Amino acid sequence: MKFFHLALLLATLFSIVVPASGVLPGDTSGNDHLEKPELSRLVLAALKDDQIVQDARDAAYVYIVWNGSPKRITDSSGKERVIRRPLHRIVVLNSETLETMRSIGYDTTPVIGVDKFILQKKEFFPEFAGTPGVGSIWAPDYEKIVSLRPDAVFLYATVSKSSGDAIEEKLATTSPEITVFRFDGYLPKTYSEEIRVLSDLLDCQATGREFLDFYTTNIDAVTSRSAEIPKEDRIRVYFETWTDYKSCAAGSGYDQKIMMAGGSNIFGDETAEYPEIDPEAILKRSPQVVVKLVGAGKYIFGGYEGGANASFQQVHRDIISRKGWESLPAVRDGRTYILHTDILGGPHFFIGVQYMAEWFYPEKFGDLDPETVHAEYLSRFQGLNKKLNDRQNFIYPV
Amino acid sequence: MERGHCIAGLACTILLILIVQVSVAGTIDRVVEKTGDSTYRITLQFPEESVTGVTEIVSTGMEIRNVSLPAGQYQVDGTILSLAVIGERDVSYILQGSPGESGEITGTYQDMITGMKGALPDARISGSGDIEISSGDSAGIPSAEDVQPTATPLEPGLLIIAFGAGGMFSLLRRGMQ
Repeated sequence: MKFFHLALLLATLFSIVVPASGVLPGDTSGNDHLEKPELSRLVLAALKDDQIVQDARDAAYVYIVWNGSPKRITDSSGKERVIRRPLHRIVVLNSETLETMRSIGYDTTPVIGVDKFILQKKEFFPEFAGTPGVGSIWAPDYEKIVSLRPDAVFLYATVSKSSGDAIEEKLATTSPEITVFRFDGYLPKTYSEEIRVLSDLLDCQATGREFLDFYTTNIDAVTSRSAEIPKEDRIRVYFETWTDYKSCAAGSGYDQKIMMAGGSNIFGDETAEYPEIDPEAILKRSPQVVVKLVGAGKYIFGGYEGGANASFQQVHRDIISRKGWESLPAVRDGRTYILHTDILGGPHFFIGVQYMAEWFYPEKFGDLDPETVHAEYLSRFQGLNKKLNDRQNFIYPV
Repeated sequence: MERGHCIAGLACTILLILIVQVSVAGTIDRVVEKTGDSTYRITLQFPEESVTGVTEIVSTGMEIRNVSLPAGQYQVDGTILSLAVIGERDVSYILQGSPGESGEITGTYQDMITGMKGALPDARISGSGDIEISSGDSAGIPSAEDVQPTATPLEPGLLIIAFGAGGMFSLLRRGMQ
């Protein structure tokens, strides 16, 4: 009897003084492994005290799902992260990770705080309308983040690395109980691994594999054939972001995506990742295809939020009317395209890559059907209406 | 007593004394077996990979002993038995009553994985040793955090057996009067 009361007292103390991710719930021996007798004591104690039921439930989860050990993963920052309880309260500061969470079949109910960009995407993230906003990775609202008492915060790994580092350092100092995870969710080079790691972290291994298969199949449909195109035969592409005369170079996600589609980025050799381009240089490098990205900056229209489709036409008209561009092969041959960032910038980039592959090599990739792939992605993996895939909102010419 | 009544009584006794089983929440079954004079084996059957806390309360005068779990997984406090069921499919204990005395067993459970909680089937033991089991909380109550209750309805076959046994028991009593 006395022993039971002692166990109850210990279990109660643990639930009060131990940070959420600091010690395995019920691990009274402190060996970082939950043994059956330890779980037994906690379950018996929980039968007498409602306040420790959550501890008992976490311990049961750790014992059954994690075999009694902490969950260890290495995220895209290269750091090993360790959690000792399932995540109950999550703040996400990058929409790419949230989108990937949905893709791998994770029930996003524990997400209790999101960045302002997620809140702006009302059509794409309707379930987060009304979720507390925590600013952005560039202007985080620390007070709000901490007040939400999250046990995990998700940040970018490599994009705006200094901003992410600053947030991570500050949280480590002020709220060490919060575990930070860093994923990019938009880089082709690392996305497959990120799917695997995120699926492992969130215990969505089976549904994560389903999504990985879908993603791999649709990427391979392009890369298995584009890889055969010799470097010297690749079509010359000028890619322009939503900032006029700003392109991309080697190392950027856009450059990787152009190469996947079989193109040769005419500014791939620039030193800056997103270089400002001298208009004369474009004329000199004589691109055979131009791809202009819209959906941000001064080009906010289309995409999932829809509307103003006439703007696609206007942007196209403005592009081909630029001074001297009438002599470019891309303009002369009618191979100037507008692409919305909603299907190229984030985890959905495989859709944009398929559209680009079609544009670059219509004969080689004529069998692709990115519109159907897009619809399946929305309905099967995002839980959204597949009709949101209307190509008029994402590409021009249609 | 007529011959038909004797047959009915025999069938009733077989049904009630040997095994009475009722499902609760589609997950936990209770089996009560008479093992001797005023002695009963109570068995709770759990699904695989379950982590469940159970509290059983028996009537005053009944003694709980021989719990099948290892020592650290249960606690007997007078007429209250607490169980921490971790992966075990069957958990049993012996209930020793007093001759001629009736008794009752009530129980509650909380599934620590799904968050479901509710009542187990009650068992009533009459002074003559007959066993009657009522259905438990078939729906279960999910905790506030849980949105995916896994409960399934009471198995119809077992319901029929329970009602049938009750009816036969009633018939037998009338026949004896």
